[in-house]
Amino acid sequence: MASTTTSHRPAPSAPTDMPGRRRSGRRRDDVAGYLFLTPWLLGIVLIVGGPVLASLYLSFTDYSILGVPRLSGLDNYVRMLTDDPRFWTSLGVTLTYLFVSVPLVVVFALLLALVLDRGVRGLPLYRAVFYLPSLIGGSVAIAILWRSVFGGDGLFNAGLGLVGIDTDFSWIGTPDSALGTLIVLNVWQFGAPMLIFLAGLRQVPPELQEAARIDGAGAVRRFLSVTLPILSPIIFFNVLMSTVNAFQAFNTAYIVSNGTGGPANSTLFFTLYLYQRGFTNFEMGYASALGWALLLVAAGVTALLFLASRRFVFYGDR
Amino acid sequence: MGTRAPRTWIAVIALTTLLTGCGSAVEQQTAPGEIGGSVDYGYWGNPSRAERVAAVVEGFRSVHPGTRVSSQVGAYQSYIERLTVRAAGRDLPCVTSMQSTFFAPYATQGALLPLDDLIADGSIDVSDIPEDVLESGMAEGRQFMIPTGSYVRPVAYNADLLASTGVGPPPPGWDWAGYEQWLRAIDARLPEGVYATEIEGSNLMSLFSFVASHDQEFFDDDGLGFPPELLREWFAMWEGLTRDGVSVPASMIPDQTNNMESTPMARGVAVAGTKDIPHLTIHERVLQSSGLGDEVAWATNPVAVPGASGNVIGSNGLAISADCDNVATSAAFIDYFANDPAAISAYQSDNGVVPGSRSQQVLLDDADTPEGVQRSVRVLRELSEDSDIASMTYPQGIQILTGELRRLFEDIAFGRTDIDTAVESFYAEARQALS
Repeated sequence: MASTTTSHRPAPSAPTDMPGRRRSGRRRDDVAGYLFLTPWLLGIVLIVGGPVLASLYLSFTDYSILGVPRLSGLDNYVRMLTDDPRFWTSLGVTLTYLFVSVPLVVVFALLLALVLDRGVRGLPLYRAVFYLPSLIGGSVAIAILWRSVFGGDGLFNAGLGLVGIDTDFSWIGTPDSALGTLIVLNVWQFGAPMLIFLAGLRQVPPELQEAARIDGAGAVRRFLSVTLPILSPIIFFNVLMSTVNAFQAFNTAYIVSNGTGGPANSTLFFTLYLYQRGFTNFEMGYASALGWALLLVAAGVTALLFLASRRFVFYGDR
Repeated sequence: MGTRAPRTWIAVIALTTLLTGCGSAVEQQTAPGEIGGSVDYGYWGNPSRAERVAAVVEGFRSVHPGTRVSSQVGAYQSYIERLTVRAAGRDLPCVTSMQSTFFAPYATQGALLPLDDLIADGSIDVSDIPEDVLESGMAEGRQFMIPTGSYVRPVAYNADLLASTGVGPPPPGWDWAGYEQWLRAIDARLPEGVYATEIEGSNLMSLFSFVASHDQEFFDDDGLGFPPELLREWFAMWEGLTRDGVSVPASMIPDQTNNMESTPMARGVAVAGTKDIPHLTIHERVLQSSGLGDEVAWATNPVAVPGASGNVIGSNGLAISADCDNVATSAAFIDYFANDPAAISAYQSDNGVVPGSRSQQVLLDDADTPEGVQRSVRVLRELSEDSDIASMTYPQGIQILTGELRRLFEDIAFGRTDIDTAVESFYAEARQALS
């Protein structure tokens, strides 16, 4: 249209018109783009952001879920810290689970990845087999199975019987061992980190290994001085993901303990305790405060991991 | 330009569709007070109960043509969890199954409709329901739940296993000392790996029995209505029985609350345990199928004070949501469910024994009523006729106490706390839960 103008104005007016039209076309594209994005934006704002903010507000209220929230200031937080021994118990259980199971998962996954990386025959099959527990390990069915396996007359004791150890000890029904069975269940789900390690091991430059070998480094030295540093970002990633998963652990403890966190609070994960307060005791205000406490603890642990990563994680480009 | 405009319009239409999709469907309304239209009925249970409910719903439709009852069923635990969330969203089914132990918070916080007016105007007939049973559906002096199935937990025992020990059945009118002696006598004659009883120390219903048998109120206006000494006595008795191996080990407590096929008693690992009346027959069947016994017999709970009873009654029943827009039909459905002989026969007391004597007679006279159900009716009748039943109203907070008692007893049994501390903790938690 500008090219057909009969105006006496100099030609430069045409170039300024063209970008304007392009801009308006681009704006229309942007509007369409945002409209297409709207369902997702609504989802993130209403389904995630809204409840998160609502729970922050509710954490300062006395709210029984069936009634109307009444502002109670810091009461929930004061009660949590000074008058609720089960808060500390559940935090202890969760941190124990975290600090025992996460290293075990990561080490186990790494060791297995190292074995599989040696070019074993039928690698795809092994990968699939080892990954399977990651898919089903967190399911309700497996949790129920776990209860049977580690019960007094379960498969585990039957296995011990085969090697001459006859016992009817209930591993899942005794406080000293119940959490251990849940840790074993978590470690069993090593498939996902193992696959990530396998991919990472493929990225270790063979020439570095070769150079180390020529310099006389043995297998252990090569692993410690070449493989491990190059793999450290991946180790950090797996530790981070496993940590987040450990903080969120709920299903297994809920199913295995029938939702009680027993025996004697030994499997009372923080998430389970929060759930009990909110949905069994109808203390939704207090449960919201517990949720925010969990968020702060998880954020603190994650921050510590990031701080530690500055010292222990080797990024090749730095 | 020709392609941009349609893209924008598609996005607008998609968004509009998404937003309008959030709205609820328009339902057919009926005039207030008129029976018709549709109502939802939510309950907990299994496929077998669903079949019985379907028969009841079908019967209701034949009596009230033009009505529609949509059933929503869930397993017990998930049903309760969903109930809480739905009540918070003012979305309870019009007719909602409740239990005397957990309906109070819904009633006192405005989620349920008081039924007194509907009872007064004859919409719901409660004339066949005994007063003490009806009371279990009351909160703050108003009727919120119509009991349709009652349960009492007497002492059940594997009669064949008991006979093998040479110890006789419990004597009538026994007390708690006699109960303990009976268990210890059985234990002395049992092979290794078999125990005289399941653990009751962690079971709130059993503690209810213990307190009621002392002629004490479990709850009063200020919280717990019985002295701490009673709880101390209770813990001490069960701690001793567990420590001495008379009861199953504490590690088996979870087995007692799992499905009925795997309780220590059903597996032949324990001779005795308290069981809801309908569970007597279920345990009997499991024992028979595994060849571990032919008969599960029962005895009333021990009594500490003459004239008192330890057989505390609880009930399952039906309530109406405070937000129900079809109260008349809901009331008619409850009335049909609780009183109509066709409904009584179709439902067969699947969730507790039907409490009314007329309704009980319907089941006893019906040749199609299974023997197990008839037995349950006879047991409840016997207890009622002997006035050996203790009624109880359950305030809100019971769920908290249920978990707390179990945790505290586990702590005691595993040596993680002492009895005095546990008693203090229970009272402290009760003060908070019941306030």
